[in-house]
Amino acid sequence: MTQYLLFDAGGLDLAAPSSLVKAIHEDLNIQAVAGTSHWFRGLAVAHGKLLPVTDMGAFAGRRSSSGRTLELDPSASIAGLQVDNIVGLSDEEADNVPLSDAENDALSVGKLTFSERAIVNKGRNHRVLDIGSLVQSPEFLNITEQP
Amino acid sequence: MADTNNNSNSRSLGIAIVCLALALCALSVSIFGIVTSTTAAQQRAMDMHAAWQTLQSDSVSGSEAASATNVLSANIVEVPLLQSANLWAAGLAALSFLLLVWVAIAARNLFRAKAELQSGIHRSQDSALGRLDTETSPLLNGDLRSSATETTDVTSPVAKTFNHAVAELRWLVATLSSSAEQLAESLDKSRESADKVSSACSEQSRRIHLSSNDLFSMSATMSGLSADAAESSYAAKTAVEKAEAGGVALSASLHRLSAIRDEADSTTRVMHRLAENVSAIDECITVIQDVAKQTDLLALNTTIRASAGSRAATVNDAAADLGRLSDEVAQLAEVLGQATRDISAITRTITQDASGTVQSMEHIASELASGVEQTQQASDALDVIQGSSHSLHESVVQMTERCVEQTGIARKITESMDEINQISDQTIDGLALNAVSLDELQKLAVEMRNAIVGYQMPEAHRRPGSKNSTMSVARRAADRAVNA
Repeated sequence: MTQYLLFDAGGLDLAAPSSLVKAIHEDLNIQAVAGTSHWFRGLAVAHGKLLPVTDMGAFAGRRSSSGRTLELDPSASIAGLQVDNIVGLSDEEADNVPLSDAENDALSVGKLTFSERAIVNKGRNHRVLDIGSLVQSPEFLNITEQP
Repeated sequence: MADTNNNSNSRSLGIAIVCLALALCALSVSIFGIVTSTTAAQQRAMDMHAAWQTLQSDSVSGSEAASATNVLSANIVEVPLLQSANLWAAGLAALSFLLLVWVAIAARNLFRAKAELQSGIHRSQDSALGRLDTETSPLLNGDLRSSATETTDVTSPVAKTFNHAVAELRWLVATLSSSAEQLAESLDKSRESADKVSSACSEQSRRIHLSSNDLFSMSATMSGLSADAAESSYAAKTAVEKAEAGGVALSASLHRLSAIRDEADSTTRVMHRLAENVSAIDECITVIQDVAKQTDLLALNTTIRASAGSRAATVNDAAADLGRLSDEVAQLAEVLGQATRDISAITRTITQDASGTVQSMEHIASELASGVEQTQQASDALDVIQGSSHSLHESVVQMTERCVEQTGIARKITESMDEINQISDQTIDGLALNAVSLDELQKLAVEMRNAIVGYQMPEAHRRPGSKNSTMSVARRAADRAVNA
């Protein structure tokens, strides 16, 4: 049974396997890096290690996120995802749920890709992120500022 | 008549002068003709004598004889011309003689007419002077109706001057008469004003007498008012004594109330401290809320790490995660312990403050009871003061009635004084009119002096005995001038 961490970023309800999340940070001191994309917030120090932090809302083509930061497990990638709110953990199974209008819009203008599966929790459909594909995608890895 | 004669004489004199000029011209021409003909006759006679001498000589030649004969022939031919010229000259001389005779006769007639004219002028001047004397003589008796007839003779300028002088004299007399009348009117006004002033002074005196009576009445009323005031003073004294007693009770009550106020201030300060402690509790609650949030986060992370524990790469990684978790839990426990200690201290303070507040409130309650007792005493004293105030009020009412009565009297006095003031104003107005009349009199005197200062009055007018007659004549002249 897979446990999911439910959160939202940029108005999108998302979910990620809790096994791929190492920790949740409240107040990270993020230092901006010049010459990078606007969705790349900068570098932070978490447990004595550098952690590149990505704004999930901006990366999805939505408004910028300003909440907690999810530190991904090093087995997936050394990366941090800044989200708006942490909803909680869910042990529910993921179902096939069609994309909503907001998700379709984000898909058309953002760099985030969505799977067809989602966790239904309290009437909200938290789209399951494919963390492995996300952290390996060229769009995520290329943080250079685009002209 | 004289002009006609003068014109006729002038015409005759002109004709005579023209005739005399013609006669002189004719005489000159005749003399010139006679001289010329005489010269020519002498020249011809000499020529004829020479020709005759030539012809009488023995040795005369034929040519010389012929020439002499020609000369003689020519002279003989001119003889009739000379005779004709002499006749003309004689005629002109005769004509000149006749003209001279006629001029002499005309001159004699001219001189004769001139003499007659001079005698006529003298007669006319005598007549005009006599008429002028007749017309101007009534003025000597002050009759200004006289006037001189203005003719074209020599008396005309004198008559014009006389008439102008009489007109000026009429105006002067009329002005003097009018001024005299105005002077009399001004004097009448002055007398009327004096009469008004006199009557006003009498009325003023009567009003003052009435005012004196009113003042006497007011004095009596004031005596009664004084007695009432004495009673009021006694009542006021009683009220003051009672008020002093009430004041002592009120002072004690005030002291009690002051103590209650101090207790209330102390209680207020305690309440402020309670509010501050409550605020500190709020801050502790905020800290506890933060701790709860951190605890939530820690629970999430603990759950995540617990689920990932089985996937830990090494035992060391799991031990490190557990160590970090232990540190975070210890930090949270320390924060919670500190917040708990703070809340405990604040709670003790609040308990102490509440206890002090209760004691203060009990003390305030006892003080209030004491203050109520003191206030009751003050209320009793005020009741006594109220009774005294009632009697004082009755006295004041009586005094008010007397005062109303005095007010009526004072109003009467005021009205009388107003009338006195009005009378005084009338007196002042009368005096002002008097002053104005006197000013007019002075102006009239100056005007009369200016009117007669440039004239030389006849001797008869300066005599005091003829003043009435002169004034009557002047008055009549003035009347006539005014009517005109």
